[in-house]
Amino acid sequence: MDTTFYTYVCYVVISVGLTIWVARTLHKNGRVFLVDVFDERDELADSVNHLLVVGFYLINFGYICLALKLANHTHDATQAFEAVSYKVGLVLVVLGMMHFFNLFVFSRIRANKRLAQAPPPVPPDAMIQADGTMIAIDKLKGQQE
Amino acid sequence: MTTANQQGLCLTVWFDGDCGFCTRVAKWLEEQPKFVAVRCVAAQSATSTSCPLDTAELLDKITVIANDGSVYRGTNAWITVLWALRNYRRWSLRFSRETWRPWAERLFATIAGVAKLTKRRPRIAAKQSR
Repeated sequence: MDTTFYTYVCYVVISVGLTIWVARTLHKNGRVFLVDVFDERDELADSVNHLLVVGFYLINFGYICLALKLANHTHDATQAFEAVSYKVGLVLVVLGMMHFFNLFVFSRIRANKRLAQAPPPVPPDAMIQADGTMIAIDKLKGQQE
Repeated sequence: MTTANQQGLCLTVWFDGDCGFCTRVAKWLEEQPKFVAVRCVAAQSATSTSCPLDTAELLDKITVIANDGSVYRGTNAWITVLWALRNYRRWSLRFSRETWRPWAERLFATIAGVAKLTKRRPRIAAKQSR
């Protein structure tokens, strides 16, 4: 077994470890967002959260596998170190992009929900009373005081 | 909290039935996807039982009356209508902010000016004699 093999082993161990760490962080901290989005329906939020994490794992492991092969074989420790660093760096960048994408999706879902619940942005100019007469809001306020 | 209030809310938009532009906008409004129901009614068909404002007042400014009794007029009416529309609520919230509000006033005043240009001769007399 040559240094190239050990380079691969290092790369896979580090990348998989990082992926699992990021996925667990997302899983743990994304839940609060989802529970809010799905109106406190915890089961649904957990289900969506789990599905998101599965997708995250699939994409990342897929990328790690595809990016495994080195163009040039490594012959000594220095070359091996460089190769591992380069490959892990790529994985980190992909993980970072995935992470921000995830955040974007979460915040987008949440913003849409908040929009749907937003109350009328302007106060009414007048109110129609029960007897059918209309009173301007400033007069109504004067009456209440 | 607000979703409960918004459920069953219905906005009635009183527009000038003699103005071609207003009629087009009303038709467009009916087709838009909405958060809150919107009903467009020509101001000329207003009666004292259906609306506490008389036709002249309704023609003066666009008026929106919600079924909870709130009355919105002019720029507030425009903003409230945009708020009811799924695709334009973002704009409604934006226009209601202090920094955007003067621009909203100007924009809607311009639109009202354009609407006046497309006005046909009044139909009120014909309506009343019917």
